[in-house]
Amino acid sequence: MVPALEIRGLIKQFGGHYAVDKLDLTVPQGEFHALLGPNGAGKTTTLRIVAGLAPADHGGVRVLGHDIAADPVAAKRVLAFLPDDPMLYGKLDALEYLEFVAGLWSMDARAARSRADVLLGRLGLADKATQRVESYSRGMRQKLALAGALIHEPQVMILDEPLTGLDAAAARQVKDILVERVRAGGTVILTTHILEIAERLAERISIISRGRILAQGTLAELRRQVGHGGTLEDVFLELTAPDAGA
Amino acid sequence: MRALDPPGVLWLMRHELRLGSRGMGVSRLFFLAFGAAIWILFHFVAWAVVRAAPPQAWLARAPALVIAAEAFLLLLVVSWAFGLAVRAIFDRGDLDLLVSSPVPAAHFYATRGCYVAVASLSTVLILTAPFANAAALQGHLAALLFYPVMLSLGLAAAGVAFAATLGLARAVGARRARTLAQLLGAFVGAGILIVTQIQSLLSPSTRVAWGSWLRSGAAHAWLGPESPLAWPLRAATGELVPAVTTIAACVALFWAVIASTQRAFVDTANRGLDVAPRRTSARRAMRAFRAGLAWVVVTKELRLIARDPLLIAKSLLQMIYLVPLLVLFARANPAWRLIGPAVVVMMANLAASFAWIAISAEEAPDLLASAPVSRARIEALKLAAAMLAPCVLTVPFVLFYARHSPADALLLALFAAAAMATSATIERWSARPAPRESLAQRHKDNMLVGFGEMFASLGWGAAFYLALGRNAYAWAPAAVPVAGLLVAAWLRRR
Repeated sequence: MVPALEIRGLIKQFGGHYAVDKLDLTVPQGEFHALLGPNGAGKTTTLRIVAGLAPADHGGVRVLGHDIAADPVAAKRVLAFLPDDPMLYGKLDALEYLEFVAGLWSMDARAARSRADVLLGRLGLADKATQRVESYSRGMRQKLALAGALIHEPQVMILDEPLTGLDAAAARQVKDILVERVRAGGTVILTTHILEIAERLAERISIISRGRILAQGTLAELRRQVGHGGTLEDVFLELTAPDAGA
Repeated sequence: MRALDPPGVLWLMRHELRLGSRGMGVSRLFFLAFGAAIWILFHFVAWAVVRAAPPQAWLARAPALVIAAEAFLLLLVVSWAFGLAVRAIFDRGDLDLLVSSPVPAAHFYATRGCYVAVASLSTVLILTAPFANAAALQGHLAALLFYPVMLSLGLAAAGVAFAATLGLARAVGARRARTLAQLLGAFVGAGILIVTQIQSLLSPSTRVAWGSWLRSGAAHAWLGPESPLAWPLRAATGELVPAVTTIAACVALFWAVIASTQRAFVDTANRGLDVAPRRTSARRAMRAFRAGLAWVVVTKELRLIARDPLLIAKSLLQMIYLVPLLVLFARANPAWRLIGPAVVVMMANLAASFAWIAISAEEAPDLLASAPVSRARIEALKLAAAMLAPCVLTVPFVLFYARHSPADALLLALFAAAAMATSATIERWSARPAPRESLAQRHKDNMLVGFGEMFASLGWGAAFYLALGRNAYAWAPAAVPVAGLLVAAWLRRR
């Protein structure tokens, strides 16, 4: 079966600094994958290249077998990307926003409308559906952006810090929705600073630092790699310590 | 505590000035150096004018004209003060830090007021200071009273702008107050233009009646050298009593506003621009979605433009410049034909503004970039949406022309469309991400684009004017924007 995401030898430089340095990553279909790393490790840059928002200097990215550089439309059709600080249209209401997103993905209007109702209901935004986004709180915006990412039922979801700004109840709703996507055969790849999320939800974890994957596997495999049975936090801190790669 | 030490008023003032001077690009610095050179040259002109007629004599020679000019400049200062006061109150910037610090609110409020006073005066000072300097250099040292007088007038303008904006915020809420205050400032500026055209707009009988009133005693009391309206001018030209009175009155006004509204300033700044949720609409909640990329992109752009009252008002404000020509049109004056070239130029400007909003000020670029649609297609649809409103606004003028000559009407439609397309294309090719609020300053970092847009729209306007007269050289001014676009397209390919 073709992998959901396949990254080979990815390189991205900014002014001589390697943000991503020969990164390889393969995520099979139907997996919940967490990408962890310290600030400035190259997580967001990698995800932006995967989503087709930035070109790679070198290397290749395939989403369900579609090359993001050679055939971006086919790759993006099966993909959803949720940035860490999603930008929405303040003067549109939630329904108008979702109608716009559905139009971009060429969805059938009737199916889009019904899916919008379901998502807004699940995320607790149904009674705010006709209010302009400019009156939304940070958490409500995050939930609406997630609804936009989910409306076209993407096979691969790329989420950069999706739980930022959410309260405990909203975070639980979002986690449940993501787990359901994976159970339904979808693939979720997310970055997070909340290691507990990765520990509890992710089937496999990749730890990235200085633009390279340092370790990859299930939590048990990562523990074996560092040679002790600590928490994910212990493993993460040991692998990403400044002198770890020296 | 000394004013210069932290957190004294002068220390805060230095902080404001430092913030105001940051962010100057090379092109802006070049522009400033160029402006300074022109300003120095302007002193030579002022020297000659002052030698021929010292400022003190101006009022005696043509009091009504001089008082009108004074009112014009003061209104300009007030209109700029409104824009700056709105930013001082509503732009978050460092307000949270200042409000939460132990600095007395009156200190940073007064500092902001002083900054607004100085910034709103800057352009008027550039135009008028050379006359004061020239008079002082020619031995009339009292002319240097110009500077404290002007500063006090700036403080008064800042006081009026702060009081009105905070009053509006209390009456209609912060967000509406910001929009209304910005509109008020813009209307004051545009209204000045109409006033300058009043002579040509009046009917002959009204003009005669106006002339006889000007010669009456009542007019002399208001528009003569002894009029109280002339005091700011007399103060600025060095008359001691008017100067002291003007400075005292203006500073007292400013102080009174700062003292009486500092609490309102802090409250309004703390509340910020939070938006109250609108009432939900059951009918809108039930409406069906429409499909199709063209539909959703064009509808989204039009919704965003239509829901931005400030953008609409500022854009349509340009139409006010057509009022004098419309009056001539109504009077069947042959000069009405000039309205066509003016329409061509203005619709090109409007299309450029909306194209900039649609492309450079896109609020969710990541969403569009991650969608399975080519960027070129999205941008083409955005430009179509941007040109829709100017096209609709052009229709009545095309119909006006059609009443006289269908051929001229067709020419107007063609030239307006070409001008709009040219401006929109320039905006597309020079697009750089920016917030919507930067619309008015969009060419600050790239003046070449601003000049290109201006010359292109003027070229199409001039070409249309010549085409109306069936002039064989009508193609010549149109060749400028066309050649410019071709060169730009060639450079982009390389």
